[in-house]
Order: sequence, then structure tokens, then C-alpha cells
Amino acid sequence: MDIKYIEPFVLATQNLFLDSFKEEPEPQNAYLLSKDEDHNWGISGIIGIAGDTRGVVVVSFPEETAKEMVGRLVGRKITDLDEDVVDSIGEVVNIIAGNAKKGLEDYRLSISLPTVITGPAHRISWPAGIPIIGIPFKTSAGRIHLSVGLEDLIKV
Amino acid sequence: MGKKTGLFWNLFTSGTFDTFPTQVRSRIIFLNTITIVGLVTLIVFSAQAFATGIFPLGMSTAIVSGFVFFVFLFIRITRFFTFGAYAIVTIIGSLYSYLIWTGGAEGSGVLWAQTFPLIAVFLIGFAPGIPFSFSLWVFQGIVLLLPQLNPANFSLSYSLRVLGTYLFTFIFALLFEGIRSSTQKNLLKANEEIQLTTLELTHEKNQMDSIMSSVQEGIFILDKELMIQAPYSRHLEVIFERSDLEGLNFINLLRGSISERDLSASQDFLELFFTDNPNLPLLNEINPLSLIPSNILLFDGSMVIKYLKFTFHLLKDKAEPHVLVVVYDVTEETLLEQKLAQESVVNQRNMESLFQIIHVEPDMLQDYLADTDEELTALNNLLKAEDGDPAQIVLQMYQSIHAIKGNSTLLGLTEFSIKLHELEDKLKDLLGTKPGWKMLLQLTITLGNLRQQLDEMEELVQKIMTFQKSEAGVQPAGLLGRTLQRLAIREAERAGKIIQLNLENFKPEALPETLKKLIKDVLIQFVRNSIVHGLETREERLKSNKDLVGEIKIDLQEDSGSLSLIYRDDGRGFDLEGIRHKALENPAFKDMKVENMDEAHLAKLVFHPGFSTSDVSTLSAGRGIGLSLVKHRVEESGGTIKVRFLPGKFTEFIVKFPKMLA
Repeated sequence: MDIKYIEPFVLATQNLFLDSFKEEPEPQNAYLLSKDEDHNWGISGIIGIAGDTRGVVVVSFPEETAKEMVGRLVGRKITDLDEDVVDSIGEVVNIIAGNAKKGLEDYRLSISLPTVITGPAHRISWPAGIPIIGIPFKTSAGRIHLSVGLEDLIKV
Repeated sequence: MGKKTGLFWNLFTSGTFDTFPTQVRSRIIFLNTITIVGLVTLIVFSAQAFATGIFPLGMSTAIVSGFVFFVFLFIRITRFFTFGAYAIVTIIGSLYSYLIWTGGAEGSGVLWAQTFPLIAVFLIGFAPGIPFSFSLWVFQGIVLLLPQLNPANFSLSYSLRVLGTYLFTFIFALLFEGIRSSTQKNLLKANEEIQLTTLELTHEKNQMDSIMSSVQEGIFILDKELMIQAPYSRHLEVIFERSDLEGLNFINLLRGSISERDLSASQDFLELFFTDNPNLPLLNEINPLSLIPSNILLFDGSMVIKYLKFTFHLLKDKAEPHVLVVVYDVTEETLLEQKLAQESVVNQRNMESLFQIIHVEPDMLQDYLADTDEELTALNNLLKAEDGDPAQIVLQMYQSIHAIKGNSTLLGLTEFSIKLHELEDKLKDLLGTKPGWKMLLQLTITLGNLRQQLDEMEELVQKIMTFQKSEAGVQPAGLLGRTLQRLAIREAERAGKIIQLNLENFKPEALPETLKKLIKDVLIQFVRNSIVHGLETREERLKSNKDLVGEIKIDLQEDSGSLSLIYRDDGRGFDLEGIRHKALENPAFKDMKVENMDEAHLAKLVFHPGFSTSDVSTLSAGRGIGLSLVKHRVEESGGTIKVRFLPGKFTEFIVKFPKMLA
């Protein structure tokens, strides 16, 4: 897994907060995410990547964080994780993916539109046989989480 | 042509004439027109003749009208139009002859005769029309020019004018018929050609359609604006999972599916095809879409990655150049290739690991793997903890990696050890700094890779275990002792020393696993420390009158309050001045007033992270982390550590663990 593919996603996440909430959250210590770990994520946007490397980048939000963020964006208090929230989070992840794309222009990569999944214990199908790196961000809306699982492809 | 209906159409076409060739149809209409108009006229005239009392004329007209009606019915029923036409020409010719002969009402018979060439030529055509018309002209001439026959006493000049007019109509009819038939012939020919061409085209189109619908490649043509032209192969829709491809801009089709960089490269590339003199072999080489991973949006909104291969061919034989594009979906092949390549790398790595681990007892390996897993998990927990101090993490990582490396070299896992050594190097440079998230991310990635290799090794060990199960069970007892023996032999060989490990009073088997592991970590560091630093070379020992074989003695003593581990080597002891010297050189110890430090404090410096008396760091020792790790671990478990030494005689470590651990 090459850091050069991960960095643009970290910066894109920071930028999103800078643009939308005028804060620049520092990434916390990265760690190894175990695939069957209990997480408290309520909603995740999965971005598929193919090309020089292959795998997924997942942006995850605990339910409260998602509601808080969308609440600030729309200017009212959100109580339920309804379809509007899901759509808005989808859009947020979309912006992150779009921003990251700019930072990845030098590489031969194609980046998918994010797919959003929800549920208190939603499962993400990680690529097999590779480590998954978790990068948490601490924001004033709560913690959000970037997880990266990218394969080192051998050129054929 | 729409189907015409209605009474008039029916009358004039004898019901229908669709089965007749085009050139006959006009004649049929003309024939019916003549019969119908003639019939009406004749009936009117005969009625008038009867009314005015001219019976012979009335009768004859009525008879003729009967004939005409008969012909009308005849052609309608039998559809013998040619016969009908001759019959009508004959009937009308006879009627006109009669009118000429009798003169008609007020000598107007000759007037009717003027229409005959038109009727004859138009109804029965050029060749047969001429003799008919000509005969009537001759007959008319005879009647008019012979005074005894002339019924109406026309003057000569009037008669000549009538004949002239007839001739004029005759010639005009011939001329018109000539032009009409030749035009019709040409039209017919053209029509036949068109039909033939249509047939060929239909055939070609059918062939093209069947090709386009059955090939397993996406085939299409691009114009100068890079628009997809119809027709394209049906498989193209399968590849791109959409059906609205006609007239779509090719670049827009790919937008979002491939990277922006490739997209703009493709646009530039395709534009080169439409330049004046494209260099085709070169274009073939620089094709940016020769193999491209593409995100394809499915109908349900999800994405799928397809590996697509595009080839481009210039089509020059058209007025404007076009580019033929062929797309192949090579996803399966590509994934398979990648998987094979990946597997061959893993296999090779496994082979290397296998060669190395095949010589080691599986129990020992499992022990090692469990330990390493535990170390990495502990490290990861440290990373995971909120607000973990990066400097602290780096220090921990350094110590853990060092410990893992120690175990790895001990088992002879050289490749893995070298990797750990490299990581250690990197970590050493970071010690005392506060690394940023990027650096930590990089370290985490490296940890991830280590863990992955470890998992692969674990799998391998499992396989070996099932292999060896059938053989006599390996005794787990004495495993730690054997591990230490192994380590001692390996390290001594590496250092070129001869040593003996005395484990007579070392019986750790009954201890709980956690304590055993701690003792193992501690002892590994001690043994390596002794062999690298404490014990002298043979030459040195010879000089100092010592036994050539260096001895390491490990005792484990249990008393009421605690468990004591006593480790002793008969080496040179601590070189306090050497330690002082080293510490003075090391900027990390700058604030510690090393110049005036007493012996007890100097000795303690060896437990300080970053202290080492060996100049070159090797896989075995010389990192300085060893003893600091030992101290850290022991104190963490609530134990204490003491060091005693006599220069030139021995070094002794006494580690006490609280009883509750045991």
C-alpha cells in the first residue's frame, strides 16, 4: 500500500471540513483495522479504486456525527438518520472523492462514485489478504474515520 | 404509394391493375377512359339521333355503344387489356369510318376522325397504331378527295386542311408516344437498378446487422467530432451497461469511468487521427487506452470495474476520415493475470520462508508467531488509543520491533529480520522527535505489511504442523531452554566466540505463560548482550588466563515472596570508563553530567534507551535498545532489576518478579 494514494484522501477530508465548517481536523494516529472489528459507524461511503492500485477507501461516520454534520449543513437539528441524511452524507463523500481525484491525477487510477451503506453494524467487504489502515479524524462534530485497503499490484 | 380507392379509381383501373407493370397501367387507364367517355358520348348521341328522328344514325350509334359496353365488361372480367385495346381501336376506327363515309351531322364526321391517331397510338402503341391511323387517313383522303364519294361536298382546300390536321395530330401522337415510351423504358431500367441495389444493400445490411449483434466486441465508428455513429455492435451496450450510445461523444462516454489524465490523453490522441497525415504506427504505440481499468456505472447505481482494451483504426476511404474503434472487455483475463502474478510473488516469499522455517521446531515457531502477534497487537492498540503521543509510540515501536527482530534472528528468519532491521533503522532516526501523521501512517503501513507476512507464515506453519502431526509428538517441555541454547549457539558463531549455557537451575516450565514470555524476552536480550559485549574473544580470554569457553549461567529461584531470575556471565564485566566515554559522545546524555557520575549511576546508563557501546549496529545487537527494553518490561510487570559486576570477572543481572505473577 503506497502512502501516495492515501494522502490525497486525507487532504480531501481536511479540505472538506475547511470549506464546510471552517476547521481543519488533524488526522490521528493511523492504525491497523481488523476486518471484523466492532466499530461504531452508522454510515459509510465506499469509494472503489482501480488502476495502478486496487481496493477501497471508506469514509465512515458514527450516527451522531453524521446527524450533527448534516444538521450544520442544513441549519436545523437532525434527529433521525433518514434518507436525506444518507443523501447528504453521500454528497459529502462524493466531494471528498472528487477532491482526492485532483490529487491523484498523476497516477493511472479510476475512482468510482461512492456507494453509501448504513446500519449500526454494517459490514464492509474489504479486499482479502491485505492490511486495512484506519485513519481517524477528530472534528468538532465528532470522530470520522477514513479506512484504506489498497493492494500493491504487480505489473503484468 | 398509398392504396387509392373510390368509384372512379375502380372504374378507370378495372377494379385493380396492381399486378400489371407500370408501363401498362397508363394504357389501362386510357383504355377505360376511352370506353367510359365513348360509352357516355355514344349513348347521348344515339338518344339525340332518335329524338331528332334520324333512325339509322341512332341505331348505328346505339349498336356501337353496345359494342363498347361489351368491351368495357370484357376487360373488367377477363383483364385481357391488349385485346380490349385492339377491339376499342377497331370499333372506334369503324365508327369514324362510318361517320366519314356518311358525313355525320352537318358533315362533322371528319372532326371526330381527327382524334383517332391519338386513340390508336396511345391505346395499342407505336407499331400497331401507325397502320391503323394511316389506314383511316387514307380512307378519309379517298372519301374527301373523290367528289363522287364526298358526302358533305367539302371544297378541295377544306378537305386538304382536314387531312393536314389529321396528319398533324398523327405526327404529334407518334412523337408523344415515342417520348413517353422511351422515358418509361428508362424509368423502368432505373427502377430495376434501384431494386437490385436495394436488394444488395438489404443483404449487406442484414449481414452487417447479424455481425454487429453477435460479435463479442464493442465495434463503432467515430466521426471528426468524436461522436459515436450508428450502427455499432450490440456488445458495446453490454460493455458500457447503457443503450443510449448513438450520437454520444466518445470522451463523454468515458468521463467518470477513467482518470482525468487518461481522459485528456485520449482526447489528444484521437484528435491526432484527424490531422492531415497521421503517423499510424506511432499512434498505435501511444494508444492511452490499450488497457484501461474503467468504472462502469450499472443501472442500479452501483459501480463495477472493467478492464477494457481499445484499438483504433483510421478509415480513409470516405470523403471525411472516420475512426473505427474496437473495444474488448478483458476484465477476466486481466484479473487472472494479476492474481497469478500476485500469487507467484507470495509463493516465492512462502518458499523462502519455508526454507527458513523448515529447520525450526514448529512449536518454537508457533511460540514465536504468537509472541510477535501479541507485540504487534499491543503496538496497534497503542496507535488506536485516542490522543496517543507519537513520540511514545515511536519508542514503543522501536522496542517492540527490536524484540521481534531478536526472536526472528533467533529462529533464523533472515529475510524477515532484515526487514525488521530496516524498520528499526527508520525508527531509530525518529526517536526523540515528534513525528507527524504522515510518518505514523507510513509506519502503520509497514506494520500492516509485517503482519501480512506473519499471517502468511502462520498459514505455512499450520500446513507444516499437519504434516508433522503423525510423527512422534514434540515435547513442549524445555522449549524455552532449547530456544535459548539455539540463540546462544547462533549468536556465538556470529561473534566468533565459544560459550556454554548452563541451565541446570533453570526450570521455567511450571510458570504461567505470560511470565514465561517475559522471562524469555529478558533472557534473549541478556544472552545477546553477553555474547556481543560481555564475553571476550578466545584470544582475550587466553590473555586473561580464563577458561577458553565463556560461561553463561541462568538460575531461577523461588522463595516465599518473589521469583528471582539470576543471570550471570563470566565475561569482562562493565567497562565503566568506556560507558562514560560513550555517554559523553551521545548528545542524548548531554544534560546528565556524565563527567562526574559515580559508578552506580554509570552502570545504570546501560538501561537507558539509545545507549550502546558497540559502534556498529548489526542484526544481533548494538542498538542499545535491548537493556532498556528489559528494564521497561520488568518494571511494567511490577518487578525490579539489579546489575552487579566485577571488571574482568563477571556481570550479573538479578531480576525479581512479584510472587503474584507466578
